[in-house]
Amino acid sequence: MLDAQSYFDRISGDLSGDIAARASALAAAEAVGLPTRRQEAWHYTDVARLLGKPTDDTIEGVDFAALNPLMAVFDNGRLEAAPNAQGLTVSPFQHDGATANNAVLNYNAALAQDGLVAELSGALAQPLVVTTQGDESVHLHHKIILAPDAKAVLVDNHMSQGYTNARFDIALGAGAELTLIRVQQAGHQIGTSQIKLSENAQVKTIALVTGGALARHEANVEFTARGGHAELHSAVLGRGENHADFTYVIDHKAAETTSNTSAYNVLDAASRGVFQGKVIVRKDAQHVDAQMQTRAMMLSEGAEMDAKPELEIYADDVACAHGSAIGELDRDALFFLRSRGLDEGSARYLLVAGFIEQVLSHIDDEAMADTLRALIAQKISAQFSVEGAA
Amino acid sequence: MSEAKASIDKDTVDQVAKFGGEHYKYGFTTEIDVDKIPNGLSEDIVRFISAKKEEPQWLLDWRLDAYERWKTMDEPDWAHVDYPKINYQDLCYYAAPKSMEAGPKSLDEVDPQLLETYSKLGIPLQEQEVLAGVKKIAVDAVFDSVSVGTTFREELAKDGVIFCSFSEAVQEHPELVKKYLGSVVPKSDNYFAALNSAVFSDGSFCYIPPGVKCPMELSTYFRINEANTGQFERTLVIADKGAYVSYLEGCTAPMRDENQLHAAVVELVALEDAEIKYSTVQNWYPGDENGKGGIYNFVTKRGDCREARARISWTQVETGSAVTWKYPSCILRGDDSVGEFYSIAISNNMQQVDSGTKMLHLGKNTSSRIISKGISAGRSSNAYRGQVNVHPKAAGARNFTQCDSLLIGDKCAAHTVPYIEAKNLSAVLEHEATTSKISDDQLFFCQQRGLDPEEAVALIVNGFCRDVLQHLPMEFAVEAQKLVGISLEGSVG
Repeated sequence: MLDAQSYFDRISGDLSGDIAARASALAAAEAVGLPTRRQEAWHYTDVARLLGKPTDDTIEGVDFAALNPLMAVFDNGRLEAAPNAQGLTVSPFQHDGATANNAVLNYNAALAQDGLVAELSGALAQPLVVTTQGDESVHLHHKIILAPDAKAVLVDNHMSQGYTNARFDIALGAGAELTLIRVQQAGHQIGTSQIKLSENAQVKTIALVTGGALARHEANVEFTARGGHAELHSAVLGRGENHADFTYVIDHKAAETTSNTSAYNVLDAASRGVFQGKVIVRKDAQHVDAQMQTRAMMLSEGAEMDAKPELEIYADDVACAHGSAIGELDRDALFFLRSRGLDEGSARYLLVAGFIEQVLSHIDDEAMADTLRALIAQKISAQFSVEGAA
Repeated sequence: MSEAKASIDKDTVDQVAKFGGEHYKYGFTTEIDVDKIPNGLSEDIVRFISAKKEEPQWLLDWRLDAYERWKTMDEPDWAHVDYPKINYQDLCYYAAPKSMEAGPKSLDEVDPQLLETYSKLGIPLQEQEVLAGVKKIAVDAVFDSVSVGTTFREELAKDGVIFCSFSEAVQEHPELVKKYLGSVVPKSDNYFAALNSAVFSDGSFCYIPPGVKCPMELSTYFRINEANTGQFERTLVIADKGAYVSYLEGCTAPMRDENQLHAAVVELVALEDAEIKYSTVQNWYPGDENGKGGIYNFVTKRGDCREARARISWTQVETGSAVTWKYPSCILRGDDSVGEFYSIAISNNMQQVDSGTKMLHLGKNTSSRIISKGISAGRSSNAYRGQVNVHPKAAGARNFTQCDSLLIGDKCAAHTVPYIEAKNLSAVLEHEATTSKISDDQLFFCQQRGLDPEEAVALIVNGFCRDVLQHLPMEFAVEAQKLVGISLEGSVG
């Protein structure tokens, strides 16, 4: 991604939409370039350095097939076949060259090759799995709209070894409910999700990062009407020099909205976890309840955790809190398990799995939760060279 | 004790109840002849201040270097505060009472009008007037750009304690000043510290020799009197091996429609086994209810636990200033050293506060504790900004942070911005933060027990601050409790 201009010139013949608008978005992006650590939101994530790092994480096939999902596979940036089901309307990708004061989104506006444009209504019986695979640099722009009272489970299954700049625009109609599950196992990804909630809408995201030289997951949640509820949970299993960054802005623009955020990081070797969460409660957005929890388990010298849970409050009748705890594996717990006859590896396995389980337990669909548990078990076992006790 | 407590509570209640009463009782001006230099900042001004103080060449060079660096720096804009751009060429950097020209040798020779100012402020500058049963407090009184006098110097000297104005320290103890000045806050540390390093005019200096427990509380009282003048003082406190000192700092200014700049630097150095307890009651003029006037309080305070088992504790009660930008910090360099930060920051009307701390864990088994209580009322904005950083070599580092914000009214704002950075496996860092209003249940409960609404609010707010108030020296705690009440005047009920 180092020379965006020549890359743009090379692929522009295949890009849809207004090429002039794309070119101006590119110019806006190039004028500032990729974010640097001098920008507050990127203080802990040095994009240029991380993009230069190779990624050697293995990608395990997650067995979503058993869940009989609707599949939308993006192979090197192109949708293979549009999924088809009752209550799901997929439209052809349409580019819009909107530019904002954000280089990441401008690069996306300039270079987005494809994306899933879907409208969901009613209760979608099957999970919709969006898989990103391949090893090329890709820019994707997905637009997902949930009609009022729609219910769906969406999976963002990131299996690419390349560089991905993915944007998700998600709008939830009144009373709609969305569970968004994201998995990143490898590669370099800068992902931006814009999630808008109408009255009484509910969104729950569960993100698992088990690898990747750069995993930046940014989510901007906006409550536009009362009664909305958002949950954002993330788990990181960091090994090698993995870098996982969860950056949220949760903007309570409406009264009587609630949010609950948790981040669980297990950091081994020289991996680094970053959590930046900002809760904004706007003036007159009374009766907001916003909770935020960050936990990190440090397993090795050289690992690093940086947390910045922010509150920005302009209304008084609110209950907002955040908590953060960083420490190593609990020696007492380890001793307890060893005293019960478990070997060191199994004991560590159990403690780490139990830690991550606090995120997995937020998944309502048991079959889905088990599928992800299997992936986590595999990853932890590989990391600690022990057999899973599950 | 419980009687004392009852009277403290009563005082607070009285103060809170006194709506529409006197808002800022320190807002008077002392009419006095002053020696004031023309407005503006240049190399010549820096040279002038240095010459006025008859400073050695090395210190002038140090100032000039700071000035050169300051010129290349930008004013920080990351804080959650908003104020019109300061014209640094439109400020006066040195103002001193004319009567100080003569160089009074003792307090008896100081202009009585100056002494009266301090007695009006409730600061005792007469050594003999110490009442039986009241602990002695030595005071260094700074008036605009000069120190007017330091009490109990001889008595302190018996124990080898040096306590004097900064200017005197430069003349009498140049080796200590040279060794420690800028060793905690380098001259180019930040924009305001660089400005201070170039133009600082006076301040307090304190050195506690090895093994000495300072026999009395030391304090500095800062008073800005002259209009359109900035105050740039520098405080340097050194506790040698095994020494202990408790240091208090207070500040006030007249009520004026213009904004005045206060850019101070405080450096603390604690050597092996030494302990410094630094308490501040900051009550600069906060401006009126529409945000007109008030002090811009842009202060750099930092303590260095330079050697093993050193301990530095910051306690602050921030009630004044139009804009506060202040982060008393600890560098925990020595193994097993301890840093503490206890803060109450109250903002009312249009005040803006961006305050917090930094705990930098460098040594092994270092620990730190942060308790911050922010109270916003009126249309004010109150932000806690803090950093806890554990260096890769700081094995066994431990931090506990609690920052709570209380909102009174629906037009104020409260923010919490903690940076938690762990680079060591064995670090244990805990952080908790909450934001809420005074609970209706608590108010109801108190009223149901017969308290009127004002009493109930005072009780709840004082309870909210309790964890911090109890870390203040007794004399200060009483004053601080009253201040909590006064600062919230007109915001409840």
